[in-house]
Amino acid sequence: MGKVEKIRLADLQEQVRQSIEQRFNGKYWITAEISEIKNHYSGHCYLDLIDKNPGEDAISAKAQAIIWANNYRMLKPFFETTTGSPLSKGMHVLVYVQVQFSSLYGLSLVITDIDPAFTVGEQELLRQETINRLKNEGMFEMNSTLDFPDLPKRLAVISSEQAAGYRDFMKQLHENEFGFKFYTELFSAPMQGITAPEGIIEAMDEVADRIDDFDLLLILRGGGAAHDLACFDDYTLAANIAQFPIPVVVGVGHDHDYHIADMVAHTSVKTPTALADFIIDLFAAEEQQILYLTRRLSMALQNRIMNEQNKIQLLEQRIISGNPLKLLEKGYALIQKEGRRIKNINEIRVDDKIGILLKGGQIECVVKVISDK
Amino acid sequence: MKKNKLNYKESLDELQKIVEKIENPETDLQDISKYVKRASELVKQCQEQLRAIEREIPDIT
Repeated sequence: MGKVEKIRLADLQEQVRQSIEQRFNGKYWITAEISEIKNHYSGHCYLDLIDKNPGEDAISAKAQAIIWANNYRMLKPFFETTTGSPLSKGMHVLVYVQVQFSSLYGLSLVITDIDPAFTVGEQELLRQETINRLKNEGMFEMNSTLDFPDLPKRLAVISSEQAAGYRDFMKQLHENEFGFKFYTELFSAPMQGITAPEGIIEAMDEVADRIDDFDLLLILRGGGAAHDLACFDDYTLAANIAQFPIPVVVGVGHDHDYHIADMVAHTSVKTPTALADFIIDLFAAEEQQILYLTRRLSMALQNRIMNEQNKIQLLEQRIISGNPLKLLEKGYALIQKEGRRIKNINEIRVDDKIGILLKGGQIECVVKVISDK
Repeated sequence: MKKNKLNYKESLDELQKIVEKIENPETDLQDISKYVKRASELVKQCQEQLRAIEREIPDIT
């Protein structure tokens, strides 16, 4: 073997580092998908970024990335308030990176900025795709066309027992000021994170097995942070809600967000407390309706009695004022023939016997002369 | 005596119709007491259905 020039690994790596740093001396906006993310106790954030060719599942590029703690402290809350979710696995991001090479750690990308608007756009796109798919499959409106029960008293509740939202709901519902009684049964499920859709669907299957026992299915969460609600945009969960055999009422959100689960459910309200109020209001409205009807009934009855009394009074009045004897009082006279009242001269012939009735008595007369006018 | 158990909406509809009948001056006086009796039954039924939670509750197995 001839004399081969050897260099040490460290030297090679150093040369690589130098050429990389020379060639990539700026910062670059890159798009990628997060495949792993770890928050280190030191406050740094370590990520694996990957890329896939459009329409393919296989990974075509992969790199490590770091957000140093001093940056991460600012970027994290900014990202979360804009997108409504924390940086997480599977998310598409647009990040501003500096290429760094270390002989020990290899290539890594140091992220100094993130554009949350890009992620929002990607999420929105995905949401829109899910909505279109549900529409195309004819499922979007399915649950909302079910008849809503008149008096939904038997409520299957999917939530997590520890959730503040669940406790708020139970308190609000069962301690309602009107004293309406409800039967609720909890089917526990994780209400956030990537396991949520699957867990909720399992709980829904349990309810479906006893579907005749319930009037409504309620899905609720609440309390805690606004993030991690992406699971309520999940296609499979939405499809299950849409096809559920009884009406589903969802109360998972916060004031500003509206999920696909909300859209496909029969009814959606903003919070678990609002959900309890929604049900109580149904009953209160019915009770008011009954009270209103009983009031109308008693009014109608009173009116009817008054009407009848008026009718009687009117008749009485007519009888009194129409009584011919009244006329005699005033000086008029009545003429009778054979017990019948005579109203017309034609009814009388000469020599007829007639009676004249006037105040105080009656005169019997015989007709002598009749003269027409 | 056969007692037809109406559901809530049916009871409410019937009650509504009775109120309209009593409100209608054409309705025969003779019928009114019959209607009033029926109406009070219906009000009671509706109230009960609103308030009572029937034991149609699942047998927990």
